[in-house]
Amino acid sequence: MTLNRERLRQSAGDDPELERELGAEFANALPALMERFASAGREGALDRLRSAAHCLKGSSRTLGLERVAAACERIEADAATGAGDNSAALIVELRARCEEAAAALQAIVMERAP
Amino acid sequence: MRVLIADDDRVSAMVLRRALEKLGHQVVAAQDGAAAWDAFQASPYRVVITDWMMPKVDGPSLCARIREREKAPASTSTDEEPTPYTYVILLTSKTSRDDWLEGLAAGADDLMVKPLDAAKLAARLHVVQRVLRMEEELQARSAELEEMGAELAQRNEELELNYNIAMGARSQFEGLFGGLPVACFTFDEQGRIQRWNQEAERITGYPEGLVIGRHFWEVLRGWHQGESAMDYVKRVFAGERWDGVEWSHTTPLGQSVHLLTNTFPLRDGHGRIIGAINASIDITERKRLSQELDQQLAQVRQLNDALSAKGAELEDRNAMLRERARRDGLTNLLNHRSFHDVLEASFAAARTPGCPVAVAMVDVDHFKQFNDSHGHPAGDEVLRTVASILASSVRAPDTAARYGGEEFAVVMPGTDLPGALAVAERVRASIERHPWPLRPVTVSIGVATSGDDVRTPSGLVDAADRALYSAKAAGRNQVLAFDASRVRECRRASRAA
Repeated sequence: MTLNRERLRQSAGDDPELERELGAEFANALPALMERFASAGREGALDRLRSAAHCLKGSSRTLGLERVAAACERIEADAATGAGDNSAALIVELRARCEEAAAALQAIVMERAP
Repeated sequence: MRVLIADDDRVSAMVLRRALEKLGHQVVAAQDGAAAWDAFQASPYRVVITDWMMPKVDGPSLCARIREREKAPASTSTDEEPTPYTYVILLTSKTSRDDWLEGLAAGADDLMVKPLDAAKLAARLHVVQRVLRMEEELQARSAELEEMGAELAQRNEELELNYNIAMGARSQFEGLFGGLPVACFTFDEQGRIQRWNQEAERITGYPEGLVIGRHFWEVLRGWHQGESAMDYVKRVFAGERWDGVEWSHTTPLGQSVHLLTNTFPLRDGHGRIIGAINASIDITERKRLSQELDQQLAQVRQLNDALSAKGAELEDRNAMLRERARRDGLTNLLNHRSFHDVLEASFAAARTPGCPVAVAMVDVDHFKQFNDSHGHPAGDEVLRTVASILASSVRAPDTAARYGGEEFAVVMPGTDLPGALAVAERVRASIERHPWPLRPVTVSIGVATSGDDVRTPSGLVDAADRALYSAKAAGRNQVLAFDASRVRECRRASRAA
């Protein structure tokens, strides 16, 4: 599931406005976050990669973005091995999941917009 | 509450912040662990909620730093409040047992799993509030206890000071008591010995170790015993003072010691009786000297009594001798000299008007012939008999005396001539009537009284003597009074011749 709405509702405390703000925040932060992944992947900085994956995993779980969270978890696990062999492919996958999630959140933002 | 949150995940931080604000808390958000530590150092928070994984300073490290800061010693300033406890909740997606144990070991009070459950967070914060309230109460209690501790410390200091003063005073008392040259011991309300000084040891012969805790009358056998001793103790503890009690003690070696004892209650600074003291001096030597003195005084008294007796005896003998000297050895009448003494005294009294003195001169008739015929012893017997009759015939105030040879004299104080003649006649008649064994014996008597013609004792004797010669010349065995007119005629005749 790209977006678990129930999870998002719980995290926002049944506050649609907060849901919107959270969605907007995720969308705003996403480019910079993806750049952290890209640069860490390019540089083979597994710690940074792992840290970024952990951070995004937390956000995506909070927002109910289960696929993004799963992708982050894989990157984190791959980096934890110390090899990072699959990191490039996993980052590509993450980007795809993030774009799906951003679209889903955008839809919420749009539907809640006045 | 003011809550510091730390999370590098902005979305999670937003969710957490909003949830806390909804619960009414003030929230300060730090973007990572390092920023959170800076904020905490600038102004400590009672509650910190932090993500586990963060760059540079992660959640457990932040926890550990907070705990270290709490452990650090407080400033030396006494005004500074003690560091309050900070309740730390770790947020994590980790769920393994080891991870949780690690978080708790780092100093976390609680852990919550991400994504955050707002309801669980609210419940946990209730717990946090309860814990912090208890912690505040504990802090307050602790402050109170510290204050009480300080007060107790001060009290303790005062007590120690008083104790030291008391111990100093006690030490001084013990030193003074122990070294007194008087045998002293103190006892309690039951009469049990509490202290026993060196002089008491020396005098009684009992060392301190043997007597402490024992009833003093069990040690001092010469003292009142049993109920009498207990009554004595009660009276001393009722405030009575006993001075100058003398008694005897026998030492374990059998030596008898005489003691003079004062007993009186001991009082504290408020006048309350806290014990009693018995102080004795050894008067054995004094007693011995006193007894010796008593013996010597008794001897002196005996000697004195003996001397007095001797003195009285001597006095009696002297009186007897004086009396003998006054009396005639043959007749036991007053002798010639004593007659004159009596006459002088009577004559002095006779100067009082209306109180003349009379004298009768008595002479045994033909006494020389009697002696020649019957011998001197018979003559002496006549003289003794005449004296006896004379003594029994005169009146009580009259005095009979042997004047010399066969001549006697009678002094009659306060007697006029008729009275004196009556006495003289009674004498004469008595002698005449006496049944003389060898032959009749008579006397001639001349009587005279003091008056205008007779003004001196010798004149009176002379006048009575003249009357005696007249009685002899008139035939003896008769009484004649002195006739002053005849004397005057004779004097005129002798002058004319």
